[in-house]
Amino acid sequence: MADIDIDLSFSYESGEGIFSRFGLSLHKGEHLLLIASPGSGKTTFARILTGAIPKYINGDLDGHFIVNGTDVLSLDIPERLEIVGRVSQNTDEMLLFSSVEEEISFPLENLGLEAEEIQKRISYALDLFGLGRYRNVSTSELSGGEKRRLMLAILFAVNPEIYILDEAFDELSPEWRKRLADIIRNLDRTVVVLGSHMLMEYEGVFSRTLSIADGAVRPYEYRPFAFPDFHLSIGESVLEADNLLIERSHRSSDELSSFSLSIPHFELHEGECVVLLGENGSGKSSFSRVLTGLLKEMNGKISIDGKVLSAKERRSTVAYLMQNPYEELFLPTARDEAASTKASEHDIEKAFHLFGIDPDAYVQELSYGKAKMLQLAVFYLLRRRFVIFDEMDSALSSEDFASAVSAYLDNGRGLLAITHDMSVAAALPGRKLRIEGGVLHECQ
Amino acid sequence: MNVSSYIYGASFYHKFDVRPKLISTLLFSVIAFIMSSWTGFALVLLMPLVIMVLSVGAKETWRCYSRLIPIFILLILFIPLQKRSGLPILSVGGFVVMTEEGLWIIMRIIARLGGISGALMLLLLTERNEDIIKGLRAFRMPYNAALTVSIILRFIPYLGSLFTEIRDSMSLRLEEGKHGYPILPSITALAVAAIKMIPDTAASLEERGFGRRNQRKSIKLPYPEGYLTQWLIGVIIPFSLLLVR
Repeated sequence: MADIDIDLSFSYESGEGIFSRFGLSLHKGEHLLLIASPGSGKTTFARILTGAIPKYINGDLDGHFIVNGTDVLSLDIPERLEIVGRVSQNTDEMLLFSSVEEEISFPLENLGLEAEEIQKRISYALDLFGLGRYRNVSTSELSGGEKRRLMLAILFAVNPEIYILDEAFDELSPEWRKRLADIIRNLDRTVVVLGSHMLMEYEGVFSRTLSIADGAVRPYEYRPFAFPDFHLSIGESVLEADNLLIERSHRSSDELSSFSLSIPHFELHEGECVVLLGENGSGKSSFSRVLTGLLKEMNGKISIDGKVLSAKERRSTVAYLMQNPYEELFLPTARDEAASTKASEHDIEKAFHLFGIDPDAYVQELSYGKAKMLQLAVFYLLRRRFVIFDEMDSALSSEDFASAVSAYLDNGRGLLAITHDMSVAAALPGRKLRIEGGVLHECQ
Repeated sequence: MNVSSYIYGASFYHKFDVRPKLISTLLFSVIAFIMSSWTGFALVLLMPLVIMVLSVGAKETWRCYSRLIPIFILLILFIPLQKRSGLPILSVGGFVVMTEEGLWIIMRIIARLGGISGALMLLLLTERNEDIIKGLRAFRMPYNAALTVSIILRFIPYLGSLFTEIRDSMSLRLEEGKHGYPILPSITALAVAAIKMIPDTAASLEERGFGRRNQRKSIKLPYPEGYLTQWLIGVIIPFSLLLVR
């Protein structure tokens, strides 16, 4: 008999059906991988188990979630803390406090643990996810991957019976993906990992792999995806950066030295694809923000076709698709977002079709992956000559990511793609760059 | 809502215990409403500003106060509408631009707004969130209320940072060659994002056990060296304003 039994039917208040008899049985300590396309209901599933749905997002929920004979759905959200916990796909919505330590200690104090035990668990979790030196640092000073590791540290410090990891491998560097896979492999707790696409790091970690389709659990059929041969038509126009120096200081703690990144030379031609690799917190996003003019460089110059551009000029020339799509989508509906680009109706319809967007969808109700597709559509309509994809492959299916890359490259955009997925890096055409030791250099 | 105003430092105000600091901030805010002289207004405005410069430096002080400048400008633009029947001190072509009473009203608002905002910003810049909660708990405030106060205190700087994010995002969509950002859509977007934040924050708190039945262990703050002296200074400074009331 299964130790954990889930049977859910759920539809949003709007009438949109998400799950219809979503049935799943798990044994204690089992490690399950659930792979499904963006918008299939993975995050909804995680939120139902922890209770955020339907309490904070209204809808009709029916069914049960039995753990050790208790229906967890009948418990208040805080009382589920020791039973089920999740790492959210959108880390920014979960972080609330002013330091890394405080984020971890908050749930532990709510468990009523003694101060000594709290400190022991904080140290364990920080060490496990390599965050020891960030203990007193503000969470707003962490990179996307570091925030993800912090969310994992919180979950491992609480150590509930069931771990739900919603796209938790995304935004982690290859080294940390491997380490997380090892950690899960040796974990004697029930783990459900939710993902949009298969990663090589998943190998040997899970006892079962399932999928979600039409609102129910389905067997997963592995269909190897081969990236297409991307068409490159390299143009004359070139974005260049010379002798760039980027610095950032940690305001909240004196335990970390200032971050510094040096870019001796960088160039990206129209129609070219360049891949940028690097550890979490190495400065990939900071470099992107400088190229786009959102962050000021300490030194150096950035030019297009030899003309040095100010930060303000760069904003309307270089597109930057940030890691978290919600940082760039603020208007009520998908149509409003597209209309803000001032593109023609014909182009907007074409982009919606190309990126699979429902024009009337409310932005705040879009799943993380669907929000990324809308972000892709918006910047596609803006027709910038140079585009930066900051880990756009995360939370998207391989097919969706490949078609987005094709769409941009076919239109002659110069594409700088930041990724942690080595198979994606290998599949994308063009040069590979890496930030290592605070310096950008070309991979051999 | 992962924004933190706290800046690491070793200034005298950083070393000040959170308990007298909270009381000092509260007393200062109350006394700011009692002041009714030009000297008093100037001191209310300048006192937190000077302590902030000494605690976190001129650059950070400017960063904080620059957010208030648009509000100050807006208030100054309203001077001509204030107390038009008062004693004229500036007229242009027979039109009374400013009366003494109108100027007085606006300066009083600016001094109180600037002074109280400055005192609160100073608290957030020099104390971590967790210490503010501990400090409030030391005054027997229930944990839930202390957490709520600390989240509310961070809400305004968070909105500031969110607005910067939205403005940056909007500026990335401008037509080539154009600068700036559309103000009205940015403010609308800020309102939408701020409203969405409420259920997200509540869900995040509950998912991490906020509101569990078992009692949270009380965490006692240690008494630092010179604790009583800090209390004296924390009380005397705001009360000294009454000398120039």
